[in-house]
Amino acid sequence: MKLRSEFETLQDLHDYCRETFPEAAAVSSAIADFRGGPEAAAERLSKIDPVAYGRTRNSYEGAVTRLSPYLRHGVLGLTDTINRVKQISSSPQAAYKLLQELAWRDYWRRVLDQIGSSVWEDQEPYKTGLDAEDYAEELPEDFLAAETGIDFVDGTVRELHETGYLHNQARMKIAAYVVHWRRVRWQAGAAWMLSHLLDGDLASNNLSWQWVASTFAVRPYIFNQDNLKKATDGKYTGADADGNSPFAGTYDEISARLFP
Amino acid sequence: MSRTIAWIHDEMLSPDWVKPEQPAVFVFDEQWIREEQLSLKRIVFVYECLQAMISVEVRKGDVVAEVTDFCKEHNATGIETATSPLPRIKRQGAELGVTWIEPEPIAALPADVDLKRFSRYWRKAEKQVMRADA
Repeated sequence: MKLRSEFETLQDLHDYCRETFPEAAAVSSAIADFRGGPEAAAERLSKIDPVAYGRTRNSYEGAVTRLSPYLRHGVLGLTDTINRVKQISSSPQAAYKLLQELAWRDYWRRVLDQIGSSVWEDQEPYKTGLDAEDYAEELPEDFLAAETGIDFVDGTVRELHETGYLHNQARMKIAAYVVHWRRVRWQAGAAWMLSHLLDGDLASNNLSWQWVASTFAVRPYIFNQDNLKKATDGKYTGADADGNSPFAGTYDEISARLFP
Repeated sequence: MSRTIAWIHDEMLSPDWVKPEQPAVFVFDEQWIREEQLSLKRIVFVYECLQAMISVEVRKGDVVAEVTDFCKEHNATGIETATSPLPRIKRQGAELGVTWIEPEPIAALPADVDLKRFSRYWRKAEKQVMRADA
């Protein structure tokens, strides 16, 4: 079926998409703040600060690039982007962390190229002391409805559904919550994220979920409440309305609670 | 004279892939949208990218059937597209018998490079990625 290629206004395009893709609108009809296309990509690229990125990328307010939707769809080429980062940096070393993170994308793609559709299967056993069968198949309803009561969890679920984008720290921590705190197979969470992310990428997404779960890493990734508060720059406490948090305690205490 | 078309897939949404003399088509893959439960914001983002590639014909449906149909309309004998690690695109490309075009890699690595952990890959790739002469 041939579709329209010219539109008077952006609103016109959005309305047309809503009518032409009712199946996607049924999943979520929100429209993101990110604009597609090379102009929007160039504008993002003009704002990146590789040195600040290296220092602050792990904080919500840090100098992250938000280039991922453009890289995922080839609006920006990975090699071109790496060259551009070097051009605007005093030396490649000054941009080390950003260049390395861009190389992670290349790494995930090479792994996917090798393993193909088995990217949906556990690459290794869980290192949590649990078997794959101990994890639930489906995401819990209170999670999907953003009704767990925990500010970080509900806020992150809503943010993904509405914006199609999450800071990397939010992705890792929500994945850890799903797999380790709710004991759900990583595949359920990975599929949920792929459905909503503007940069939804089978390689980066699934293999990062496997890294968190420990099926593609030597140990599971977990976090605690102090770490969450710090990473989110105070946006979230990680607690419910009564001040109770499943993330409270030291890493050893949390490990003892979560894993046999 | 042989004539080729470009099959633009969802990893090549840049005007750089469009040549003035080569007809090009993008297909919203109904099976992909259904299976990955893509939400509207992703569709909109992709469509906005296509707005900068105005000569690309936009379609929706079964990718292999739509690209084959586009080929016939243009009396083309060959299809060009970019390589991708995505199993879906590899499968469709194989069915269509495409000629794969490889974008410039960030590092030239041996085919049997150890990918068990990022650290092993990085030991091989780091020098090339970090070199100053780019």
